[in-house]
Amino acid sequence: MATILGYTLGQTDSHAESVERDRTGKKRGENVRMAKPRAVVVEDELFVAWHIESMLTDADVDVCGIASHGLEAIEKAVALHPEIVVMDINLGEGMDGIEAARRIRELTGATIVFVTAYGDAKTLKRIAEELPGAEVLSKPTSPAKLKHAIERPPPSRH
Amino acid sequence: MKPISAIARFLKGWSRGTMRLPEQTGNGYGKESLEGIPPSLIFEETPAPRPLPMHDMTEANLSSTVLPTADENALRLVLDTALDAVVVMGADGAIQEWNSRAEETFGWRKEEVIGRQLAEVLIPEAVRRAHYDGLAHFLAAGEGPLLRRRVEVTGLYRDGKEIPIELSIAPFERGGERAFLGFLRDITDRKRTHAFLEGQARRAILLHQLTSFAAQSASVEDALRQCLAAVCEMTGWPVGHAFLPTPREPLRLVSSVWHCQPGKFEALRTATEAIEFGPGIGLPGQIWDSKEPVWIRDVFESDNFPRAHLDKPIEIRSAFGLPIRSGEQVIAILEFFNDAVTEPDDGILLTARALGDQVGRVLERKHDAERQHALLAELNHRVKNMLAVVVGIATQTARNAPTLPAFQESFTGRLMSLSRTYSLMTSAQWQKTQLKELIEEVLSPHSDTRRANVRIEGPSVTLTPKMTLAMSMILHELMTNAVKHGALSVPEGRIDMTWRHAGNGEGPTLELVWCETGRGRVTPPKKPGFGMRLIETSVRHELRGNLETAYEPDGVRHTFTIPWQGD
Repeated sequence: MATILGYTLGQTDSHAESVERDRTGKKRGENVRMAKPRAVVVEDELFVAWHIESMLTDADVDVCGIASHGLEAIEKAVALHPEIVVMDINLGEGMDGIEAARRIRELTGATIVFVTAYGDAKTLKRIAEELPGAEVLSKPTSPAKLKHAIERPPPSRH
Repeated sequence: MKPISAIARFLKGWSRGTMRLPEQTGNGYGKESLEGIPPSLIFEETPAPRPLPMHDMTEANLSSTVLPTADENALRLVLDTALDAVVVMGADGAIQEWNSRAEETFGWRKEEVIGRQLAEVLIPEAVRRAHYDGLAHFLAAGEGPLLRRRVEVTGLYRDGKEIPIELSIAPFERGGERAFLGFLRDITDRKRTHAFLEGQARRAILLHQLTSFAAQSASVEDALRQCLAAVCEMTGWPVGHAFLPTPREPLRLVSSVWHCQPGKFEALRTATEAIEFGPGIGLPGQIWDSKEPVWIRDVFESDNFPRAHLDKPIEIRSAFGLPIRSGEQVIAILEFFNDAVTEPDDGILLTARALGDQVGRVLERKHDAERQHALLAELNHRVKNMLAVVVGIATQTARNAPTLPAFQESFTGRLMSLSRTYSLMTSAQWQKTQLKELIEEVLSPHSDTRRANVRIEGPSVTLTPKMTLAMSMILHELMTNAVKHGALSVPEGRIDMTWRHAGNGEGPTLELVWCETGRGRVTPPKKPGFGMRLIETSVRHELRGNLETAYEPDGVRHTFTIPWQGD
């Protein structure tokens, strides 16, 4: 059974069902799905952003926002509280994706997955230092790789 | 004087009081130095030619106290014809003979020196005692290591100036008394030439080593550090420092690496940090402007050395600096400081200039390699980005295409449009492109008849690469839609594309109007198609602007307002 950040995909969850019954006092049905995990996509190229959105949707993730620059990403993450943020690094003028992701992780605890063309050693080192545990996927990425990245458990934060 | 005890002091020389014979090495050069004289200045000592005009010139006699006897005629011949200064000194130290070359060499006429003590005439005061001791030793023991050899000593010119002399002495008997025949040659020129060549050789070795070091350095800073250390070693100056120019305007010369003992010259370092150096300002600014080495004999007397005029006094007196050049461009400036006033040294400046050129070439190669590496990395990023965009176009087009032929047509059109835009940006070297050129590029695949119905008009507007890509996609979608369903789908239809510089409360903007007429009334679609959604989202998402669409009796008008920072 596939899970995304602890959310069960496309399967009945008996524990979720019992929680639902306990909370409401009523049984709402035999099969109760947990809410889908939600994601914000941060990508300044529209076609790429839509492609990532499609891949996430196909992986049963609810894309609740798309941002094209760092500040907008932080605003949407704070407002929407997604569990996942899929982040480009080079976002044109202003803060870059690593800086934006660092702030988002601090503010919301969202899991960060970078999808970037900048996979050089210097960038990877910076990510390891500033966002330990964050996944980094190289552009163009595939649905399978993206799904695998968001299925990983979030790094423990102390 | 104590004649017997003085034996031990022997003929120690005639030079600077502490002269001793150099230890011979394999190549004939002395390993040890005379005090104050570099090893390289000690010449190989070779046995002097045996005195010509003497009798009984056997090996036995030369090595014993039995001395040759002078033949006065032959001695006169030697005095008159020798190319060297020839002086005869008696056992009492007085001058007996003094030829014309001696007059030229030392400035004394013969009649002025005959009978005078040779030591007082020719030998610097500091070593006269050693001379007398050596003479006494010879008279007592009959031998002396300076005899029958060539040695280099310091002699006195008439005006008291010291001159380097090559000397050979042969003892002989004259009128039953011991005497000494001396051949003396002024070797000032030889010394100067030797010092020059030796300096050249040392600098050539330095340059070679430095070039190798610089080539092996991991970074430009490392290469500069090596360079500073090498020049400080060559000159004996205690401080070296490098400035690097800022890559962008306004040009500033920024302090980079230092070479000096930790904890020393702190006031100089603080003063250097306190001043903002630019063209013409201080030593580095002067070098930047002239692209030539500059020597400041005394920084406190210079009218362009601001570091000497701050509150805390700096610990240096002289300075010189040089540019490191790559072609005509100065890529670094090195400066060196001495704590004593030092006269300009042409040799050092010459070497410094050569050094700057050599290191500049090495740094240029390093810069080239770094640029090439960065270029490849950037190419890699762009290719990956472009592939991601292409994948995005393919998947999104496929999701919204009703049939495979429709997908092929839309996908190919978008891909070709993207390709033409990349070509345009490449021809602009990925700098800014002209909006008008971009529009022409978007129109280029369409027939002349259709293009004749499109009017474009507006001032010069340049777009960043990111804006160019987004605008190209928007214009492509608009044009495709106009051809299929809009104004260009009928012969009488027209498109007027106009733009102007505008502004709103948030800053300057570009206002572009796409106006289609001649198609008749257009009703707003109940649900916008993929192309229109693409345009609307792209304006907001990629250009951070907005789009207003007005459906008018004779067509449709799209007004784009996009933040634009100007050319």
